[in-house]
Amino acid sequence: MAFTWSKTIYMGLDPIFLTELSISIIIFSTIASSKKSRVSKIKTADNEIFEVEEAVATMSNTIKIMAGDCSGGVIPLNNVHSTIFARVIEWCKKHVDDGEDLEYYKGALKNCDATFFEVDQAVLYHLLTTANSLDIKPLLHQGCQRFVDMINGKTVEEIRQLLHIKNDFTNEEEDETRKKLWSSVVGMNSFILL
Amino acid sequence: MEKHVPLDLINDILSRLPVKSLLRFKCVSRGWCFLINDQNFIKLHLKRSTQSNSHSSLVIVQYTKLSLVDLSSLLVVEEVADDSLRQLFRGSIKVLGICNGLLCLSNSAYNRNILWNMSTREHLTLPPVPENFLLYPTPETMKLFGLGYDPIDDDYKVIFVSQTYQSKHKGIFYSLRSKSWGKIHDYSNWIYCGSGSGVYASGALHWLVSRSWKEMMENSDVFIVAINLNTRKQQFFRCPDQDPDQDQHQDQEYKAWNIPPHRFDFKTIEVLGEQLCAMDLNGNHNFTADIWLMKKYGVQESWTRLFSIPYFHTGYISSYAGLFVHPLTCSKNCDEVLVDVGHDHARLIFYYNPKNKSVRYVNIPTCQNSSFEVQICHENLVSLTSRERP
Repeated sequence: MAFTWSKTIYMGLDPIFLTELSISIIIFSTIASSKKSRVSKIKTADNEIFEVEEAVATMSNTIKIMAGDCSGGVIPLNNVHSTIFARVIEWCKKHVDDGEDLEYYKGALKNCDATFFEVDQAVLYHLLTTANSLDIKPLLHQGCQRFVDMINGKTVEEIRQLLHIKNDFTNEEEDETRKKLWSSVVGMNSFILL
Repeated sequence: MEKHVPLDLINDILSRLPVKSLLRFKCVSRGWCFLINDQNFIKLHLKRSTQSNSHSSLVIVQYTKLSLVDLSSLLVVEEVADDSLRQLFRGSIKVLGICNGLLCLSNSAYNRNILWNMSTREHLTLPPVPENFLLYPTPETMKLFGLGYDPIDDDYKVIFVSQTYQSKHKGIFYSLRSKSWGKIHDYSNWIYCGSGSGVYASGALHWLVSRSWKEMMENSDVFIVAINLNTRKQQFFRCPDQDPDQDQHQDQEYKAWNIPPHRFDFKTIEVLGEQLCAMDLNGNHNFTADIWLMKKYGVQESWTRLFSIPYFHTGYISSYAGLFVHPLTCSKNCDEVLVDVGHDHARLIFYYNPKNKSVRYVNIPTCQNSSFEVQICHENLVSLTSRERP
């Protein structure tokens, strides 16, 4: 420090200012470098541990909050299985730089994402419920959109079969509902009742 | 499915579906029927539908014809041929108001009024106005009317105000929830500008008015009166402040040619998205239509100029009779706005892109001449009959 003092006095610059500046630069670069390499450790319900870059992991608001509470330790996710979590992380890695703006995700699924969601129903359900519990809004939005594409335009019977829903109407109730529906859609073009 | 997926997720997914699918899916199971009929679900669906414009339509009324045009394709035209609706309108159909996808239609004598949901095709005939509430039927009567939503009472209301040139007036409203007519007391004698149809935004109906004929003709003191649908009390807003130097630039050109300035300046109001919107048509021989949006309802300073449409996009205006500029809808970042422009003899509907100032004309099949009315209507499941208090 004594060495630099004399140099700065010679140059006419305020030595105290320069000292403070150099200290802040040292502190800042320490923070910056530690952020780069910061990794979150997450443990899934089946005791598998994932090491994920913090930026990717904190796309989930739930993980972000839990990381704050755990401060460096392992974050436990008791409701999420490793196979689903792996898929979710894969999605997050692809979308980490997309920004917070949900507008990007509005509208139809883009091609790169469409293939991600071409999975069987059970997996799609788990993806959706996981995205919901981990609070990853863009993933949830896309998953719901995929679901909508799957069920839109289908007949009532097709929906029941696809989603394994039991028809719990009594015959009279079902007739009543269909009659009400029919009377309101008379005059509407291209309406499939079924 | 219900075992695996939580209820709020099912709500989220179903709220993205078009009305036709949802009406059908009421037959899937009791659970789904209950969910789709639920008032909160209906509100969520309406909100999504309004914000995304995904299944919206243009409603076109032309004398006795009511047509629906799908907004995304602008090709599919469906003429509403509902017999019961037609029977009620033997004369021409008039749109009294539009709000949240519901239309209030009337005949030319205003004595048959119907609320109509264009998505579910449900309609409700309003009961006739009680004797002691009857409006002045004389030809000198000016009428204001509108349909709006009261978010506090979760109720739809239709308002009628009539006043004679001798400054007598009467105001009444119909509440869908209480299924009855009531009086509006807080009303003054305004001279209204325009067709008399109120613009619904943020729980109130709005009209552009002035205090006297002189002020209205000179456009010197025109302002907005809002009747709150819950309290039925009046509130006033000023129109957006203009740039005072704007007209001068246009004058320069014509000074060079020794053409005397023929200045005009008049305003209209509409709703764009869910916000109040004011159009300012000003200039001389060439004019621009400035479109302003009240970004924060009730805050005068929040009037923001969205864009100006230069005259050459509105066609050669040979007459100013009945001139109007009506923005119908715009994309999220206002990349493009669908505008309906016209006057008594010509009509143009086009998409205007303010960034590159380009225009994309739209040709709607049913509109052959210039006398039709266009409104934008969002898909919705709003029920006209079941409005039980929670």
